[in-house]
Amino acid sequence: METIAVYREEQVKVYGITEKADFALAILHFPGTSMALWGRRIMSLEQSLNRFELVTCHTGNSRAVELHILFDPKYADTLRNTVNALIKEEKNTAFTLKQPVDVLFLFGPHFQDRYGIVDIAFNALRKNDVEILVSGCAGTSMYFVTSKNEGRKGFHILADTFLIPTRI
Amino acid sequence: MEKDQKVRIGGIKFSEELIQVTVAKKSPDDLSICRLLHLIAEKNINISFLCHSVFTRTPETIFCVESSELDAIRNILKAAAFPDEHFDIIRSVGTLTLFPHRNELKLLGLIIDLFGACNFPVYSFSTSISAIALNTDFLSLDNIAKKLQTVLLLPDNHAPFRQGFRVTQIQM
Repeated sequence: METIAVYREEQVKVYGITEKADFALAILHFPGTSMALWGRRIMSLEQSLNRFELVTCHTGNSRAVELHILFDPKYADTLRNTVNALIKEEKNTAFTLKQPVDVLFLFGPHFQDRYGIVDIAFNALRKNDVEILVSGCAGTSMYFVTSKNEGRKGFHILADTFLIPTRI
Repeated sequence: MEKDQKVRIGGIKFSEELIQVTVAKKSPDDLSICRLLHLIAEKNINISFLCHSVFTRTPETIFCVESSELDAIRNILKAAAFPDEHFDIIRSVGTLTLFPHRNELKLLGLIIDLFGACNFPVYSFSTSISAIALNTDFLSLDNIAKKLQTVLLLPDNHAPFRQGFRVTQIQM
């Protein structure tokens, strides 16, 4: 059975846009063959990292994995020491910490089922020279990690681009 | 694993069959990815998943669309002048969504460990506000869900993993 609902919006509506400043971004590269090992390590990192804001990951053509964890910078030193000790003698593994970074988060109705949403966000930020360092868009959520101080500018651009019933 | 040792989650969901496209920028200030996203939107093709990073050797964008859009995506990549060495397409991809993640690394680590131990491919993943969306081999989704239930505990009244309906946008 097919149901057609007609809904027109001149400007794409979002449930909310949040700008959060001063996060730490961990960037980890490791071989795809070490997936299980890193799974166990990530579980053990929970004690030193507490909670994450965003995690994204992709595997490249050479089966090298790139993992990003965005988290509270007060745990950055602990994480750096822990991971550097773990990877000391490992080949093809690298760990970088970038901080501080800002993050923009927006979510909206049925974003995962609608075309053009990510295009609108990416192009609005790009046109205004806000560089997206890392992005993760899944389900109804979109995250854009930017350099420090770019978050505020990005927030205003997205707030002008999308319609927010209530600004957070 | 005993029932009381398993991690309790709210649910698991499977996507339709997708393709995953990885595109690399030709240079750091190249606008081709923005142009590509625009061309995809113009053809009314929905991107159900996207992740992007500038920390790869060349900045990369990874996205998923329905598998029926394969030819359209190939044509768009050609129109956007992406040379063969700047993109890669994985066919028969499925997004496995698990929720909620509660912003804790434990569930994420457990899943990555299981995928690695069972040799299930992890093409990409991203967390959303409450879920983990992981792209893997579409044909292995049932098998993966079975394996996941050896470490995860689902509610007794869990809905089927495959959605019984689809939402499609016809016009902007």
